[in-house]
Amino acid sequence: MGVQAPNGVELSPAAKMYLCADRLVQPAGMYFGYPTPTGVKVDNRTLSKGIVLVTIQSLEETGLIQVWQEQRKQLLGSFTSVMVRALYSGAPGFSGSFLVSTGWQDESLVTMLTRLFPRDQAPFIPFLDSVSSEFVEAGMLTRGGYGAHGNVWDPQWLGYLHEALYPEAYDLWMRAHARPDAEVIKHNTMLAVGIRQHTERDDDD
Amino acid sequence: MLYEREPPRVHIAVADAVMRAGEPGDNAMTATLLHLAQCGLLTLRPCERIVTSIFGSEKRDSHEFVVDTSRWQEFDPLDQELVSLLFTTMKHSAAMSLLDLRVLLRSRERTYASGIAAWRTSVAARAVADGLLEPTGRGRTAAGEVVRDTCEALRAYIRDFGRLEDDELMALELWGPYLVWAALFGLAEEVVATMRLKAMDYHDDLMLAVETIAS
Repeated sequence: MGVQAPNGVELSPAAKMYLCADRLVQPAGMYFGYPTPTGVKVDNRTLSKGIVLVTIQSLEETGLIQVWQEQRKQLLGSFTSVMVRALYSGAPGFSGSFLVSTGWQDESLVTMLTRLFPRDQAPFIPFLDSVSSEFVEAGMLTRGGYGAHGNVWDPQWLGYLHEALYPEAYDLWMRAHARPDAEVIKHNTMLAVGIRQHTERDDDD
Repeated sequence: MLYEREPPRVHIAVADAVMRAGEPGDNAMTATLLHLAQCGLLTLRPCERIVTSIFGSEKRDSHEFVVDTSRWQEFDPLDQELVSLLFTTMKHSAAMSLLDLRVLLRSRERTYASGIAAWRTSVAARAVADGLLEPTGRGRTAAGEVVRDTCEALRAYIRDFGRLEDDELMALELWGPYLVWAALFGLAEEVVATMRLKAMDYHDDLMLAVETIAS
């Protein structure tokens, strides 16, 4: 019998990584730290890139996407982009959003990720928050932000899923990082974040 | 001054709408939840939650309302609407801790505001359908005036006698059932403050719920 999530919600591989992030990603300090459900802060860049990798790996394994690489022109130079073709719909949570971000045509990963990363001073954080929305749907998380109120988790579900999902999460995490195109995917992710990141230049006012 | 010990036989939020000759006020939601808790349609029980913030995570004690979904048909349609808003639309769960509720009322303020506005409209519509408010939803009918008078007399009774220094257990026995109405009248804190010395856990829990929602 598989691992059951509350409300019968099917969690995406991204959500599983999010939940087990404290055991998959190295801890980080205040600047790049993202508070995982257990309270340990992990490197938000590594976690985000890992989530993209894992999503591509799982969708490819289940035959929902095809992936290849292309050279794309950018200003005077060029870069290698991963191209994605969505073959079927119907993936849960973040995986579904990932499929939708193709616009149902052959699309470069960079363009897809610019649709998934919000325009923000620190796009990694709202991106990771959007992954956690699956737990809100499952009724085990009440989001209050990172200030005084915090995010309220149901400790029983959190404890159970954190343990039960870890073997699967670890296995998928390792396979995804062993992909031959893993570095290209990570590079594409950082390019997309660079496009979506903006700076509040309040000293110009 | 006239006193009344018997609450009117109308939904507690409808009674508030009649008293205000329009839509119910802020206390109506609190009173409705407490009423459901007293009927056993909601259970109020201690629970734990993990709160994660930029400072790390910590385990906190709280209390949670749990909907008895097996008795869903026993809920008044107004109660179903309120419970659906809070538990289904906002929390996505049949169990909601007071910590969750406090966070939700702030983080999903617009959803809550629009949902509670719709609920208030439904309450006023029920008052009209029951012949307690005029068809315009403003102004009381003759039957509505009777309900208003009963509520005012009940409020006076709770206000004037809710501080009786009876034997505390006796006070609890006597005043427990009135807590829901005391919450509607904004008197719950006074009544419970009097009883708190030896009040049973359940009423302390109810008071905690009142304070949380009111805050």
